[in-house]
Amino acid sequence: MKSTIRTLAGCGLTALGLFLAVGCGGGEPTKPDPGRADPAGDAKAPPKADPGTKPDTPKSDTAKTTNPPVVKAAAGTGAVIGRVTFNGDPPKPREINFGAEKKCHLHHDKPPTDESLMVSADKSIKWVLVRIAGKVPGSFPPPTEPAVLDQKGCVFHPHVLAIQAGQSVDVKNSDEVLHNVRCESTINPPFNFNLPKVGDSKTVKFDAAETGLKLKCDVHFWMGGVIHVIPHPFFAVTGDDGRFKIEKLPPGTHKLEVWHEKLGKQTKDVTVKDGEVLTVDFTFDPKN
Amino acid sequence: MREEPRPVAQPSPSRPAGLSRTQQVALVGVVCTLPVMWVGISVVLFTGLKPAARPTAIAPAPSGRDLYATHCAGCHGIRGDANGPASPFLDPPARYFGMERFRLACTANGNPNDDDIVYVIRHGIPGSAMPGFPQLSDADCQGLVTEVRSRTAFGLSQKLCKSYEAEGGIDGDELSLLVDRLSQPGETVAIPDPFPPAAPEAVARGRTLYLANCASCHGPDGRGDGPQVKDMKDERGRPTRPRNLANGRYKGGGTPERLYVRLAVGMPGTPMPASATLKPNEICDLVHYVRSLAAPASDSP
Repeated sequence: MKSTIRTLAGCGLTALGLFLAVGCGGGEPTKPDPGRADPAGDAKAPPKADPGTKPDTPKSDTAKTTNPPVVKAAAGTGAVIGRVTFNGDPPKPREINFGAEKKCHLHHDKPPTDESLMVSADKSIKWVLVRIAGKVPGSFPPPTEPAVLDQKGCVFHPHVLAIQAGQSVDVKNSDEVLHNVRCESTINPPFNFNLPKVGDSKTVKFDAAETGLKLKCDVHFWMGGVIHVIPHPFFAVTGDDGRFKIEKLPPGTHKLEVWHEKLGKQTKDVTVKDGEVLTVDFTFDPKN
Repeated sequence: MREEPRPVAQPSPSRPAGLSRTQQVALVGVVCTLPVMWVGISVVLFTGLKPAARPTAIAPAPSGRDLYATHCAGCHGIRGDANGPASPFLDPPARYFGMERFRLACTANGNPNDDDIVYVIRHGIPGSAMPGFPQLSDADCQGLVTEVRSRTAFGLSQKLCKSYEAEGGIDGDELSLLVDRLSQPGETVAIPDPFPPAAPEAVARGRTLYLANCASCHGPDGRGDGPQVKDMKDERGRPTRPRNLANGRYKGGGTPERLYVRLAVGMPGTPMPASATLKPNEICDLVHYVRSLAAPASDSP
């Protein structure tokens, strides 16, 4: 009995020893994984395209002015005219207070009003961009004449400037005060430069289509303007009477879009035929 | 009384051959050491006879990604979108790479080259929460440049997608080409070499230029209290204010050369403009005047 117990105990301990030996001495120690957690896995650059592809660039062979644009190329003989009106009581325009900058009064008989929402007594809305949205088939060379953007009486003239992609803008300072001109565009290279003296100017070229570019002078916080860069010449900006006219449209169906910096935008499909003049009116509701 | 002799156990043929107490203890001891011996022999046999492992002299270098996660993500967010745990408390806010422009480039188009990014990593931006990391090696900094650039490309592509919504959208290939093109650093601004010395006449000319070009915002004595300072906004519409130049701490460095570039290029994304009309010698005079505004003791680079 005792010897049986002893034999069993001996075998058990030996087996335990064997088990321990094989388990501990058998394998390589595992290395810790070098930080595989990937919280930034999404933040990678977009995939590269092959270098052969280039975005479309419209070719240019006829000259044109900007406002209103006159298309010499035989793009079409259709036209769209219309009026943009306000569906409500015209809001009272806000007077601009020049504060300490007395020299801003020099070009004004009375203090100017903020032009970001200008509705006349007959409810016409000024400074609305009207354009054919997107690209228009055909090639439309941009004007070689630069457009002019002036700072006069501490106000941008014009308040809304619409140009064609590839056109230049001469930015001028006609005031005896320091202005800077800042445009935080995205597709076109943004810029911000100083024009300290009366008569200073700088030319900026806009190559890419981009709408609603806000212009600012940081020295005079009330100074704001808008630049629209359109890839073709079929656009207009409404005047005091709220009217627009877009001529020489190619025949076909187009999206006619109106855009206002405070009231938003609207789109209507228009079907243009050669020789026809379509009338398309738009109405904006007041924004709260 | 006479002790009876103790009876001594005698082995008798009828009893099994038992062990004495001593022998029993010895047997137990030997058996108990058997597993230990097995373990020891097995370890030696399976792992070979080796000296004890020594710690490696040089630990493997942390990757750019690890460095970014350690040093940058707290403020800039792991995606570079300024959505990190510290971001809500920062004024000025941490940069949202790509969505917001790099402020301190030395290139004509405002896009930073690698040196610009490394400078900011090494020196930080005084007057903001961005610290310097002078202890990082060149290789570490270069790794971080890659991390920053990839996040910048991502942010810029998001910004472009949004702008293109009004133009009918943009396809992926064109977008990546455009991101590349818009991120290219331009020519480095040429700085006059040698830089003209800070003579009193230069400082006096600089003052005239300062009053015409800068005082509207930076104030007559450079304290950031210009008469036209109101409602200044950065590119994202957040309030900002012009620098108090009198405290001698400059976001992009206060050496004459670095201030020259700052005046020539401006600070993209902020009201601070590039100079469109000043000639190089005029910018030098302005640099000397601006530096003269600071108290002498705080003339730090």
